[in-house]
Amino acid sequence: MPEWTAPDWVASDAVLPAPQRRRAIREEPLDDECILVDSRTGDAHRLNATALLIWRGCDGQSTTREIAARLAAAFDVDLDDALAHVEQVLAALTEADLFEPASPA
Amino acid sequence: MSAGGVTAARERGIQERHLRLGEIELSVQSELPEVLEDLDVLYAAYQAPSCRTGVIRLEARAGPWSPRRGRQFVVRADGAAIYGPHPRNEVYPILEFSINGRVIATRSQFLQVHAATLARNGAALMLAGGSGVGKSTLAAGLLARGWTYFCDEFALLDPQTLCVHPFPKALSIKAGSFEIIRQLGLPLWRRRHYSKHFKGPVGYIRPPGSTRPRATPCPVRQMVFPRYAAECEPALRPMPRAAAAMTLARCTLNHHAFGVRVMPILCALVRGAECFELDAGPI
Repeated sequence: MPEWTAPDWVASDAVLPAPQRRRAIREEPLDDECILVDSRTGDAHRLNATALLIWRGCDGQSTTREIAARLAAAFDVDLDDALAHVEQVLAALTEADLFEPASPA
Repeated sequence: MSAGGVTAARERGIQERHLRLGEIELSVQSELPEVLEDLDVLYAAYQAPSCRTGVIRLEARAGPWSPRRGRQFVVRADGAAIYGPHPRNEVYPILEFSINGRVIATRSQFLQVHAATLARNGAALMLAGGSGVGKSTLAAGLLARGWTYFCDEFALLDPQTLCVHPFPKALSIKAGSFEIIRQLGLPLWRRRHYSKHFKGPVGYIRPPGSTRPRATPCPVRQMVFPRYAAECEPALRPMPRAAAAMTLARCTLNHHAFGVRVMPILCALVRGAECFELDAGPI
């Protein structure tokens, strides 16, 4: 698998809207983690604490940079590292089909 | 030879045994005296005078005969042949295995997890995992130390109360654990049993009978996920509840009966329990 490289916008001031959580996804909090249950299929996805923070930021309003800023503050990490992590988690959550479809521009 | 032997057995006629294992009722019919004797020995304390409707009905019967293999035997469950034909020394293990299959297929009031279950002081412990992780051997170890036995194969979970219900089948022990069972001082019922399914001989430990109080449904307070590795030192480590829930989901046996409700039930279950990973090793 090719090594993941941060997109250009990570270190820039670009502002990208994060996707919106699907309403069909149910959260099952367990300690500082969470299991997402897709009520359409029953599929389950385990989120650790950082992924959970990112997931909860996906309200269709917050930008990836805003979510990354919350992540950086909560876990005391560098903003660029946080942005890279947000991107990775969003890719995984998108792959799992956990976001509402993007509305037409 | 065997044709004559089986004929003699047939002449003795088909007999029936009624068993009540917790809330699971069974009726077993067979013309094989050794099958009936195995049931009598292993489940002496669980014989029921009669079975009501809704019981699981099993038959271990003579099947086809061939010049090369001799008489073969078939296990039927609720009227349908589910295993066979098999040689005579595999019949009893297959009968026990068939009980498991029918419980999975028909007892959808329980969420069933592949786990040995025991209890102490009103709190249940689940040892969850697939075949070969050591569930039955570990359960035997706890049984020898006075724990109340529920089952070595199933956790029958009430999805409303999250309590586990007893289903005290005989513990099925594979050859690799015979010596451990001897050291534990538990009597192993082992004569002719051979199971191709388990790839070797198996023996059975009788579920505790009248000498101990019967198990009653109780909440699960501890979950252990054993992993057997011959070379590793035994080690018990705390396990995150989310990891435990995901692992439990892979151990559910009747997932189909609950659909999207499975994971919320399992999450509620692990919230009430401490969870551990166990490297069993040469425990």
